[in-house]
Amino acid sequence: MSSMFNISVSEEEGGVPVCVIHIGGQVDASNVDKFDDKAMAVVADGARDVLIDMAKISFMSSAGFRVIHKIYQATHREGEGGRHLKLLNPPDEVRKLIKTLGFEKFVDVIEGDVSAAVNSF
Amino acid sequence: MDGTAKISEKQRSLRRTGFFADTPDAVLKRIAEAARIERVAAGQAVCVKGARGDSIYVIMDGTAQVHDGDLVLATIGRDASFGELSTFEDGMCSASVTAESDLLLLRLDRDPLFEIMARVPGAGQAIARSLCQCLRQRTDQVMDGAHHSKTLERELEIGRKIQSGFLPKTLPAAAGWEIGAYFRAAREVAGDFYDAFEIEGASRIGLVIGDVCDKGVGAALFMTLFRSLLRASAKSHEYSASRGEAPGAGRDDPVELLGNSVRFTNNYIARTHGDTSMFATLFFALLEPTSGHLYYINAGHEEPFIVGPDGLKGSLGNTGPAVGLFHGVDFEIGEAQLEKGDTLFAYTDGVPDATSRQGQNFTMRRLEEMLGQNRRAAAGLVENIAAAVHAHAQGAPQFDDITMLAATRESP
Repeated sequence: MSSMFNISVSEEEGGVPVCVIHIGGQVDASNVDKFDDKAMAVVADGARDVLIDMAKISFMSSAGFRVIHKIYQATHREGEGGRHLKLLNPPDEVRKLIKTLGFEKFVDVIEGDVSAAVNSF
Repeated sequence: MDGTAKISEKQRSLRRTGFFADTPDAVLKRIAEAARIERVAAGQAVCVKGARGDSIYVIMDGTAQVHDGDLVLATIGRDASFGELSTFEDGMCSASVTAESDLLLLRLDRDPLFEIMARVPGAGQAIARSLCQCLRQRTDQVMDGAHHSKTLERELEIGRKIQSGFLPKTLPAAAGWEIGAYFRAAREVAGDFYDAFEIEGASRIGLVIGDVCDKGVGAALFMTLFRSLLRASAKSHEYSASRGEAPGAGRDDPVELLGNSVRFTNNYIARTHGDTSMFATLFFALLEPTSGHLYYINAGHEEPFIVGPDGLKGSLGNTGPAVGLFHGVDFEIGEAQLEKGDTLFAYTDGVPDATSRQGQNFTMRRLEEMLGQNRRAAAGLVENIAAAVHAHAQGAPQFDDITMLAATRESP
């Protein structure tokens, strides 16, 4: 697995349109701006449901979780049921942090392939 | 303007650049004759950093970005020229230039330029002068940059000093206890903090260690906020007591005090600064020095250890999420007991993640090994670990703050 940071975005059609952010490598303070810029562009473009494909992440610092929280805030709709941000296939270390920092109560963490995840929205 | 611009138009365009501003007319006319019009579509690269640069370009219309990878150094437009130094040096482009809009360029290649310099009287001298001016301008820019970065460095130093004022100047002294702390800021300002303070005389001691997410000035600002909110809310009855009133005697049971303080801080940050998504992981303990009993909240932080005389006795796991993210969440209260000879040791990830020159981390395993073999009380323990981390780093740049807080029960 490459530890070079990389990010790409794709639009998928499930029950609803879902914006998928594929992020890989080491996510830390040195490159988090790219994640932040991309994520904020996605929500500014009107994405209402976001899936972050985390399978290829080798490390994520607190700065990365800050961006995930920003996406959560941008997609969260008060008083409306259902989750609009889901995290797909985080590696064990990242999954542990998701739990420790308390994201699990607010964000769905799912496993499986992208199309099943897209259809879960 | 089309590709067959008149010589006079090209000449006027060259004249408007800084580089050819003082070039004699006769020389400039010959240069204009040799220059070609070129069109570059928006998004296309004109030069790439590190690649050979064989031409001088003058922008006749449109804008371009001068950049180094993703870092945009400048946006240039009409009448700007670039590529002078690499062309005369027969060298590499020192930065990339990419068309921002469609560009209309005037392009001068090295060979015809050298021929003009060799054949046209006065041309060599005029261009040498232009090159010197160009170099002088670059030198001035570098000097300005150095001056600017010096000023910034000074500002950062002031920031660091102010930030260190948010750490306790002295540690509480409770009979039978030793408290020790260590803090070493990363090269850039960052967001670790620790605190230790007495509550209600010395019947309780508050011990806090925290790590604000991300790095830089933003983390540093939030560190001061988190630290102040926690301390102020934990001691609110003392700060609000009027003169002569016994400060909060007998108020608040520890569980309530601890819960209130962390919930207050969490809800305040989430509500007031929620749009920034800034958060902190923290461990906040209330220690009762007479009994050795400990009430704590571990909000998403690295698990502190209890170290006994014969090695590690356990760790204090999570009791709630990181602070500042989610409004209204609850935090459970953990409890632990420190016996004579036991030490509570809390730290931030800067300790296990400290990196050597070879890129190797200090690691949790090494930290746990050291704790397991420890025979010293709080202050000596953090000193030992700090020395080991320092030796491990061998002067490699420190990317994260390194913070430790320990309390040892020395006598019953």
